[in-house]
This record gives sequence, structure tokens and C-alpha cells, in this order.
Amino acid sequence: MEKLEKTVKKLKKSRRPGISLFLTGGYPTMKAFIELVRFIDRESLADFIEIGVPFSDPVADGPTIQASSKTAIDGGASLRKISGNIRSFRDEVKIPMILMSYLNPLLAGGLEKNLGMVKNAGFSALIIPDLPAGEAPEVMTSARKNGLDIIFLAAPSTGAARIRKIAGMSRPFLYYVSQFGVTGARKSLPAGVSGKLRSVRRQSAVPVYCGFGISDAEQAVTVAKEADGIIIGSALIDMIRGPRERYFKEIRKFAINMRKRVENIR
Amino acid sequence: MNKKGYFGKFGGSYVPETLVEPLRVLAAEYERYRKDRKFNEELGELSEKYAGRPTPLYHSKKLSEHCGCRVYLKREDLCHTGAHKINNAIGQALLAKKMKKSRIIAETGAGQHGVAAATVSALFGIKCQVFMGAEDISRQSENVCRMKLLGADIIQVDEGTRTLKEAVNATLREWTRDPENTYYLLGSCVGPHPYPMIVRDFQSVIGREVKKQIKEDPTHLVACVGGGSNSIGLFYPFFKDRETELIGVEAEGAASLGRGRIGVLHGSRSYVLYDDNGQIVNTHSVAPGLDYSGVGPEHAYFKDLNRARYCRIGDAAALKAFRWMVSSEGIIPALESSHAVAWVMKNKWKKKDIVVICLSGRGEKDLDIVMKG
Ligand SMILES: Cc1ncc(COP(=O)(O)O)c(C=O)c1O
Repeated sequence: MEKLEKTVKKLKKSRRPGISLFLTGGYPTMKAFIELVRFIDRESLADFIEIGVPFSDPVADGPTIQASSKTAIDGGASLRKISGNIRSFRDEVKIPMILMSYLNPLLAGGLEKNLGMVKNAGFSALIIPDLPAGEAPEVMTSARKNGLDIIFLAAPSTGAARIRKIAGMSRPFLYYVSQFGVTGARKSLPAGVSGKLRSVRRQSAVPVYCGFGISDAEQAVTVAKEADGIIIGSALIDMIRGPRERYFKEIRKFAINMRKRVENIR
Repeated sequence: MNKKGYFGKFGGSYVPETLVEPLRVLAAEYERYRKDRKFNEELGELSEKYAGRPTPLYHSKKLSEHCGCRVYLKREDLCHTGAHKINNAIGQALLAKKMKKSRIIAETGAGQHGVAAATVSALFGIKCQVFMGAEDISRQSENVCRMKLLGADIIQVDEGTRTLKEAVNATLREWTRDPENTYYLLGSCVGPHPYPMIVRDFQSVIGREVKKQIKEDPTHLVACVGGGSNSIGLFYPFFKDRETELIGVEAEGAASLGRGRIGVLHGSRSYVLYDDNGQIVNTHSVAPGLDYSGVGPEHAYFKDLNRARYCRIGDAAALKAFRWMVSSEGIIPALESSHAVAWVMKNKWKKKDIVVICLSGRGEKDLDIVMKG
């Protein structure tokens, strides 16, 4: 597996916006989730995959990820099971993987042990939506010790000085939350998102990826014009229903179209 | 508490980045107004003339006789709207007004905080939305009617166990959507910094009054613990009075301090009930206000310092104490408060003990539950 940092650098150099797809670990079932990961990897539908550990109280998430998380938890998904499953085929996966988890599942049973397990599974970095930059520095220390990067988030409410601070801690990129509110596909992006992204990129020493609410190629184009990459979550999860062959086809079409539209944007 | 909002290793601010700036602003504004003479005059005036403070400290002969020591009840049930929740609601609504917020949002379990929030919103002419779990809506219907009459929008929450935890989730999400114009009026000493401190400060009027009202130093202070606001309000002014024992009473089926482990829920690090995978577990209590998987970080700190002791009371004992209070004292206590009474009735006392129970609220809201049970 290629290191996330290397992929991000390569993308930056080639001036092609990166595309990250988000999946809820263990959704719709552990087996189907694993097949999805391997499918996205095999067909190179994304530059990297973000895998979310389902949590009982996902306060940063909207209805789609709340529901997928609940289904996954009811099906027995956990940090340990997701890590174990990913680990079993880590050497066959080409694209880098990022683990998204709320803090409590990472703390339960011991942070140090859990991060070791995450690293072992083959993940390169962590996104922790309820850990703002600067809080609980021991998490960062422990991540570093285990060879994991942390990707911190910046939001529309974040001021310029704090964006610089967050960018200084975030590796290998900064995750800019495109809008107020929680995750979930939206009909439109907020009006000022392009300008805001430009200013965030000016403040940030590392590449800026943007997510939250991006749901179609049109929106992806708007964002990719200004950001180093885009992250798509709920819109993808919304496709996962019905027979497997059908949603595989839909995801393939969605991802290829998205890639084509943003490829030569700069 | 230190600068970053920690009580020892507990507390902090574990929130999505979108809320970092709104919380920083809230902390700064609170810092400014807590020392502001005019703000405190307004707060004092409203507490006295509107909410009915000071509340009496009542020497209960019957309870004293039953326990074989002196037992006092701090009558928060006599507050306007029927519980201590109004103390915090008035303070925070004043803050919301100063901060020129056009909308107040609040979570509620028992509905007492929702009623208090709706009440002060009506008073100040601010729009109010209350998030409440479907289960609580059905078991606290009287309070739902009151909130509606007061002009609040009730937003039903259908996730999970459909109780307080999910109501907090929904309110936090709503705040993330529009933090600029919205004031989140949190109802207990939980959540991210600065809420545990703000709520504790506004509730500390309970303990300060007790100090003035009681002639001899109390040996024991007893209060129920849901999120922990009535108890911290009673305890905090006595923190340095080492000879006074502080006893928090949790519900048997929702004992975060008694059975939880250190974790992060709703923005702070505290004792939390979760499983081996870190998933927050469901709780149960006959008292909706105690039916919560977390607890305020300052209580976690008090517990680790051994400054306070935390005990548990089950549904049956609480219901028994409720009935005893009604028939022997002619007071209908809230089921939450009945937990504190039950613990005092069960405990062995020495004759010289002087016990103060925080009777955090009145129980009219609970008649459906009690009559069914
Ligand atoms: C009457 C009463 N007492 C106690 C509580 C528990 O909350 P806290 O522990 O914050 O005082 C509630 C909460 O709804 C309540 O209504």
C-alpha cells in the first residue's frame, strides 16, 4: 500500500484534485463493506478511502451516517472488528486508508493499544471529528508514536489564526468542512464556499481537502476548483442499498464521472 | 478549574471544530458578564421576584423522626416552574439576551429544563426550540403541554432510546447548523467548556442559601445526580468545608459515576457508561431526569478527589420514598429528587447528624408514571 503522504504529494504535484470516498465500517454488513473497499481499490475509484468506525452518538453526522452507523453497530461492527478485517487483506490494497473515529471508541480499552491496532491494520492517518486541534495533546503524541498522522478539521467558523495553527498540526492535509451543520448530502453548497476555500488555502501550509455535503459532480467541480481534493461521504452511503451489483454499478458510474469532471480543472 | 476548562483530568471541550469558536465566544462573554454589576443585579432581581428565591430550608419533622437525626429539605420544588432548573435558565437566558441571540435551543429529559427554557424565552421574547426524546415526550406529557403553551417548538427526537442522551445529540447538531444566531441553553453541568462551569455557577445559589439559612454546619448534603446540576449547586459552596460530607445519589440503572469508566460524551471527559467497543450504553430510570449515560465532569473530579461520595437508588426505592413524602409530609417530590430522599431514608444516621436534602423539584410531572407503576 502506498503511503497517504506520498499520494497527497503526488496529487499536489500533478495538480489533479484528489478524491476520497468515505464508507461506514461494517455497513451494510461487514462482508459487503469489505467487498466495497476491495471494489473501490480494484477499480481505482478513489485516491484514498476513509473508513468510519460507527459510533452510537455521532454528533457531527446527519441522518445518512447516523443510520449507517446504527446498522453497522447492530451488525456487530467495532473498531476491533473493522481493523481485524482490513488487516487481513491490507497487503493487497493499493490505495491508502484513513480511519475516521469519534474519540470514545479510540479511548475504550486503551488509546495506545487501539492506535497500535489501527496502524497494524494498515491505516495511515486518523480523522477524529470530536477532537478539535489543541485538545488532548496526548492523542497526537500517541498517534505519532504509532506512526499515524492526524488530519484535523477546520470549519467556516474558524478564524485565520486558528486555521494556521490547525494547518501546522494536521498531516498530510487539512480537512476543511464546507459548511455549517452536520454531514449529509445537500442540494446546494453555501454561497461563499469558493472564497472561503481560497482564503483557507492561503493560510494553510499543507494541502486542503474539502468535504461535508458534497453530493454531485457539479458541487465537486465547484469545490475542486479551489481545494486540493474532495471528500465524499453521505452521497456515497446513500447509494448503498438494494442488490449489490446495482449499487456497485451506481458507485462506479458516480466515481468515474466525478473523476472525469474534476480531473483537468486546474 | 484551569484555563482550558478542566477539573483535574475531567472536562475539556471535545466538539466538532464548527463549535470551537462559538464556545470560545461564549466563555469570553460569560467571563465578562459574571463580574458585571448590572448583569448580577438583573439576575438577583429575577431570581428573587420572578423565580421566588430564596427557597425555604424546611426542617422536616417526619423525616427527622424516621431517620433519628435532623433532616432539612432545600425546597427547590417551590421555585417558579417547579424545579431548580430555572436558576440556570434565567442566568443563561440573560446571557443570551446580552449576546443578542435571536433563538434559544435546549434539550430536555424530564421536561423541567425545557419548561424553564421556554419560560425565560417567553419572558425575554426570544424564540425557543426544545429537543426531547419521544419516550420522554410520552412519559412527561404535562411538561410538554406547558412548553407548548409557553410558545416553544417541541422537536421530537426518535433516535436510540429516545431519551435525554439523544436529545443532547440533536441539540448539539442543531447548534452546529447556526451558531451565529442561536444560543444553546444547556440544562445541566455537562457538555463542553464553559457549560459545566456556567451551570454550576448559576446553580450555586442553592448551596449559598443553605449556608446562610442553616444555623449549625450540616454534616451531610444529599442530592440526586442526573447530569449533576442540582447536586453541584448544593455541593460547590461547601467544597472547602471538609467536615461536611457530600453525597450524590444516582439512579441504579444510570450510574455513570458508580459503574462508568472514563470516557468522552457530549463534549467532555468524565465517567461515562459505555461498552467494550466504546459505544455509549442505554440507561434506565423511572426518573427521566436521571436517565442519562454521562455526568458532569466536576462530579468526576469530586469523586476522584474523594471529596464526594456517589451512591445508587433503584426505581422501587425511589417510588416508595415518593409515596412516603406525599402521605407523610404532604409534599409531592419529583421522582428525581425522590432518589435523594430514598437514600437518606435508607441510611443509618447518628443522632447528632444534620442532613440537608436538595428537593430539586416537584412531582406533578410524574403523576402519570406513578399512577401507572
Ligand atoms: C426535578 C429534577 N431534579 C433533578 C434533575 C437531574 O438533573 P441534575 O442532575 O442536573 O440536577 C432533573 C432533570 O431533569 C429534574 O427535573
